[in-house]
Amino acid sequence: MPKEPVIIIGAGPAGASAAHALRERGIPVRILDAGTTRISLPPPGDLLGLRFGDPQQWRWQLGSHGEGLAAPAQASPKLRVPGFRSIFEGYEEANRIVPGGDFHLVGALAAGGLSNAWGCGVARFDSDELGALNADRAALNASYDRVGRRMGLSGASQDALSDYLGLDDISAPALPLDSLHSRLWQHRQRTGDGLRIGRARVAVLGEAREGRQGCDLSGMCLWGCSRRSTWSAAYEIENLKLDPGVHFDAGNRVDALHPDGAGGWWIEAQTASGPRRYRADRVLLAAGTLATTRLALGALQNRPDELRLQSNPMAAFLLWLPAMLGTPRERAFGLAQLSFVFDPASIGPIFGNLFSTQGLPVNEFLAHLPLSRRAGLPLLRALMSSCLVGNLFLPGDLSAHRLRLAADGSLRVTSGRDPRQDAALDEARATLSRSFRRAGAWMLPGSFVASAPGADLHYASTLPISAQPSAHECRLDGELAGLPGVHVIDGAALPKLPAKAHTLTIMANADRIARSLQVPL
Amino acid sequence: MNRVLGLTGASGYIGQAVLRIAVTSGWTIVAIGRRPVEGAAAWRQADLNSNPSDDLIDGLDAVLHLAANTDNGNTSPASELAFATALATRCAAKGTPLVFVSSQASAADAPSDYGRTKFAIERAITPSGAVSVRPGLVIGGREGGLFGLLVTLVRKSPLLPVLLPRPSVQPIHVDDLAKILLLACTRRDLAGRILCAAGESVSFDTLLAAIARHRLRLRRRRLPVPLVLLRTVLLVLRPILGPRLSPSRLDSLTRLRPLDAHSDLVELGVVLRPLSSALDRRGRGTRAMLLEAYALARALTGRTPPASLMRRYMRLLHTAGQRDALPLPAALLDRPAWLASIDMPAKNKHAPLTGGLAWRMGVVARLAETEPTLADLFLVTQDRSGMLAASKDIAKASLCELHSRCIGPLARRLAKGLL
Repeated sequence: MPKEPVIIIGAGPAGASAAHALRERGIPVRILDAGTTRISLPPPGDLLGLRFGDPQQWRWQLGSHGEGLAAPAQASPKLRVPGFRSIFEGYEEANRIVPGGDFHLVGALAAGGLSNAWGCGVARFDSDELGALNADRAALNASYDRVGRRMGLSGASQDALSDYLGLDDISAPALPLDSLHSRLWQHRQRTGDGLRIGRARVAVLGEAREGRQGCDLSGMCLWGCSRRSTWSAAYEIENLKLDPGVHFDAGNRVDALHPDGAGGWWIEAQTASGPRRYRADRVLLAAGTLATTRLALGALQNRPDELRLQSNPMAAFLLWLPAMLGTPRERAFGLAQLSFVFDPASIGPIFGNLFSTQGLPVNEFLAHLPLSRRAGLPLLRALMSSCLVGNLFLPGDLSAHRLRLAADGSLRVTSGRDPRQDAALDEARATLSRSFRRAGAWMLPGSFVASAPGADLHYASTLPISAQPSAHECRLDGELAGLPGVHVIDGAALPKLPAKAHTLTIMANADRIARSLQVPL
Repeated sequence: MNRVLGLTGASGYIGQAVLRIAVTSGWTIVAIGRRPVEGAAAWRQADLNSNPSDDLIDGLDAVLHLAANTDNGNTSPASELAFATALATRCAAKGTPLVFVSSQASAADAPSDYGRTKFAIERAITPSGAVSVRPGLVIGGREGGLFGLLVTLVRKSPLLPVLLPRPSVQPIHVDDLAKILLLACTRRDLAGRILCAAGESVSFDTLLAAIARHRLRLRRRRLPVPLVLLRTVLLVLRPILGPRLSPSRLDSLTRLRPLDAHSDLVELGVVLRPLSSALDRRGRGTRAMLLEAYALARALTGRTPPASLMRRYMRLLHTAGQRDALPLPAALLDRPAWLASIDMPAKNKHAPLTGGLAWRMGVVARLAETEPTLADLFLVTQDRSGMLAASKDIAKASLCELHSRCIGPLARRLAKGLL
């Protein structure tokens, strides 16, 4: 088996970013990815047209075998979309990750990873949020710009979030707001309580580019964007596959890493046709925080008993705009249109987004009303088109999940919460309820619901980059202190997990590491 | 598998079902009786009036004894008992499993010869290792046996009698029974057992109403009839009606002892089809399932649902492993508003995750949202927009909910155990 300079494990946002950077340096890359499936997309067209006209819409809404019916409670409706089913399937078994307690575990095996079905939120971390990454801040900012431009961002707007999200200089103008968001936007100054509202910054194209079409406000975001306006790492992987310097091996589930005795690593993978081995000087772990952590812990000589896992405690709520009662359904962007941030004294900024209810199935709400469904139907028809959905994220240090490598080699996840979490959610609810009401939007009673731990899917910071790394922490270049030659380039390496969207930072960090990597050629 | 089954009573109502199912599952059938039977591979002559010949069971892998005197014909209880006992002795001698079809009426003090004879035979053959199966009221399939009589009765009578006090019956589909009998022929571990094969207990008039609804698709009004009165009428009309409608037969019905079949069915691994499917002409739940989809969709939307919704409902339920309609009472199936009042997700949180009424209503709700012709129920369109239309919707929702709250408790009682 020839020894390769770099092997990347995982083809999600981090793996794709690193591969791009390495190829720009002319370094050949092998990517090992566990996925074999592809997502299936709904037919082209806009949501209203399809809802009133597509006789086969049950296939993309419920699935030919009723996949959409079997549903975990309290999870994002995205997880129930039949076309995305193949992304999430088999993740726990393949990566030998065992969730415990009420931890809501979701991962993706498909090429492109979780970005196949993400919310497209993007943000730049500030110096406080970067922690140990500040040491290489100039390079990281250059990476932010490079990655952001390649993805295609929109949402630039001189508003209250310009500084907080920090991406206006590399983003296209924001997509048009629908009439509900427009109204809230007009009254955004009235909120008070330090609540700042701005346009959502999202990795969505407004104009066509490189095989992707611009967003036409079809409202199909939930079900899958057949125009490819919403960014997915899967599109970058498709392009990378065309490059002769990239060897892409699908269906390779990496099981373990062993030192090869000559400064490099053996990589043991399982494929449908049996085990396979690869050998590389440098291994870039980009399998997603949990899978990456399991591989790293498995290879470490002196492994810690437990690791801390962060994720963003999350909640969702409904806002009703009485003045908009009776608004007809209209074409609208289905992901975040507005974002908000406020800063309670003790815990750091709380960040959230507002969405149209347009693209969501009425049944998502019907099943939670204290009414019969027969009465709920006309009620929701009347109310839904004047309602917005909101979500909010607390900083990751308010979560306290634990990871442990079991004797059988599986990774056990146990959920945990910081004692401040409940108070922070209560305060967030009270603040949001009060300030949105001033702007004419009423939080519907009982609609504010905290999600299950882990349901945000923002798993991060298990093997953080640190100025003085211990064996299970990373140096500035992502190299695990206890595993020379193994670099962590995904969410596991983030020093901190603030409330704002973290995907772009993971990608920028992967790009930065790949550009500085010392590779023997 | 190519095993040979000796079958008595192969031309009868149950016998024909056994014959059909046995042949399709690989048995070779040797009919034992007075006449050859179509569909059987061979025929051996025998008569309940005379002892079985010595070589009657030669070469058979099992014997299923169904033949019985059901209408006071030309056999005596004594000769029936003698035949069965001799058969059991021969089977025991050769180590051939024998399964005997008894009756729910089987009891030492049964009101009819029929029940007493069954009991006597059970007692005589059990020690030699024969298996007896006591079926409930056998229904479904072709209109034979007591079932045929009941179907004819319902078809001809403009009113359905509700006997007072209401006797209970435990119907079982003839094909389900046939499967159980064939299983008993192969399960050596059951030797010497008396098994019960019967469905859930329902009142006799419920069965008649279900025959009218699911089998004949007729609407029939019910008429309360005191048992005493009916018995007197049957007694008076006895010469005209003949033995098929004798008072003793009525007594057999009213004095039936309940069969506790649950543990036996679990042991056999057999799940019985519900009443509505059993009475469906195709023996499957197709029609009942479509009726269920129709009723649930009407309950949710207040409209006649598109056929595509009902088809997909069946398809999705099948993929979820739900092959049968729920035994919803007609009072609910016919009243969408009542069904709607049960469909309250917040109240039904503890309902099973799949299969029950609450889950099925959820499936219909999800399906309704994928029907283009029902999209306007979910989405406000340009021509229905505005404050006024929204206010109308809210008023409609309030009235609807008020109505639901009023009838909900009663409707929930009707759906008890089905949620």
